[in-house]
Amino acid sequence: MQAAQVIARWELRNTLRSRWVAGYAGAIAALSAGLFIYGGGMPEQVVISVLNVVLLVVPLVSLLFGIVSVHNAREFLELLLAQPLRRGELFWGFVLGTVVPVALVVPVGLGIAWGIVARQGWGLYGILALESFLLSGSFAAFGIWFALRWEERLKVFGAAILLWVALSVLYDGILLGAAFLLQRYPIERALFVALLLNPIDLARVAVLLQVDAAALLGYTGALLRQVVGSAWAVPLVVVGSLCWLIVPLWQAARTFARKDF
Amino acid sequence: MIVLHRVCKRFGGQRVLEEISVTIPAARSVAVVGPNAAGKSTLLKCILGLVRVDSGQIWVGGVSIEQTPEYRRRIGYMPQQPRFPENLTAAEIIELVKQVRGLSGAVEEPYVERFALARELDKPVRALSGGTRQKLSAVLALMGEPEILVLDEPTAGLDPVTAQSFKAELRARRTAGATVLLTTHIVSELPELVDEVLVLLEGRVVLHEPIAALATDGSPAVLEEALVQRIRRG
Repeated sequence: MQAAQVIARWELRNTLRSRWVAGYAGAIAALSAGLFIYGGGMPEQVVISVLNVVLLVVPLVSLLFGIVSVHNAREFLELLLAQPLRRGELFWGFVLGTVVPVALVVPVGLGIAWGIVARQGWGLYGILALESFLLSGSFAAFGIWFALRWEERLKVFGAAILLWVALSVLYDGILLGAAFLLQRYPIERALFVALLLNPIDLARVAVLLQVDAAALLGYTGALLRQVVGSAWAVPLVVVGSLCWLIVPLWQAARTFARKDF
Repeated sequence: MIVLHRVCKRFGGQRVLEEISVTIPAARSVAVVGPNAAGKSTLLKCILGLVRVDSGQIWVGGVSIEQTPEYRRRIGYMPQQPRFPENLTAAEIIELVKQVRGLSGAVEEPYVERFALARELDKPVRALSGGTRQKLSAVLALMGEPEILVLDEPTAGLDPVTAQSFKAELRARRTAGATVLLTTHIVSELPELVDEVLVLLEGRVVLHEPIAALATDGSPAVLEEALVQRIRRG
């Protein structure tokens, strides 16, 4: 995999020089610092505010970043595929060089603000950084997969927006409606599974389990804590989030391996 | 030597290459010509493994291209549309490709000089013009002196001076024994660049002849007329 390292190194350099990535990290750092300064200064309160931004903005930004990365690199990927490389080496080199930096934007941006302003509650920072990393990576991987899967840009962006709206806006509403309509039935297990089927919900629950904010956990989060206990809930949710990173990456790798360029 | 045996490729329901069987001997230069959407670029991409064939076999230097990507070490490729990572410099792009190909030393220098690219090397790709990107693409294809050159409309987008330099380099590489496979719409440059012409029409080879057989006097006008007649006949 030496070739993958070469590709990843250069791709990383290209991504880190992007003004867009620097602007995104700067905006996250400024927002976090502003919340720390004007939002009471307590990490728990700030985390809930940052979390709302992360859950709404990060998936969309990461999706678009993944799509644009592939579209911009398409001809260069074609040139690299004409070199003595295996497709897998090129794919993983490209993914490491593009997904990792965008997934690190929130942990780094938030970390700068946290280190300068808050300087405490590092455990909380750790879980928020980890979950935002996994969430960004997951949606960037979805973006890459969609851009490899379909040639028509309209279809790619349509699928991305649909995924984002479905998981960040509609999902909880549908779940709540289902819970209300089916309240006479034993649907706890189904709702527990439903929690695992949404990476945004997983990130939210993972962070809120670390904060004393039971009211914000929601039905599925409270259920999770009740079923597996607080100690096991966070690791379980993190594993679930990790699966949400692996699945789209695996799908993208399969698509890349068979794609005609 | 490049050998294609009964190569077929479809995109969706559309047949792009149909039962292509062609042999390109070592040290020969062949131009693939034909109207738009005839399958020219797809043919080159099949040889490079960028497009997977539906059926048929391709061998490069006696090795099936499905066995290993190593055969591409012998190939220099110039795509139709050169696009590179916008935030890397031209020098960094060259270094990247050198590392991937396992090339060391200043193998790019003669071509950087030939195409007057030295002053552009430290500029990020986003600051380079289309013509300069095409020159960079030419340097990437030629450096390391690969045995086989696969060039997709190589002179499109080059200014006349650079196009002349590029053609001179191609002639030198032919003389040195390189195999050249290129596509072009510029029939007038065929006599000076290639030994054979392969005409594709709707994914089928309708003609594969030495240039000399098509235009006995080597005249581009006669060659153009002969090719147009052949394409019209279908």
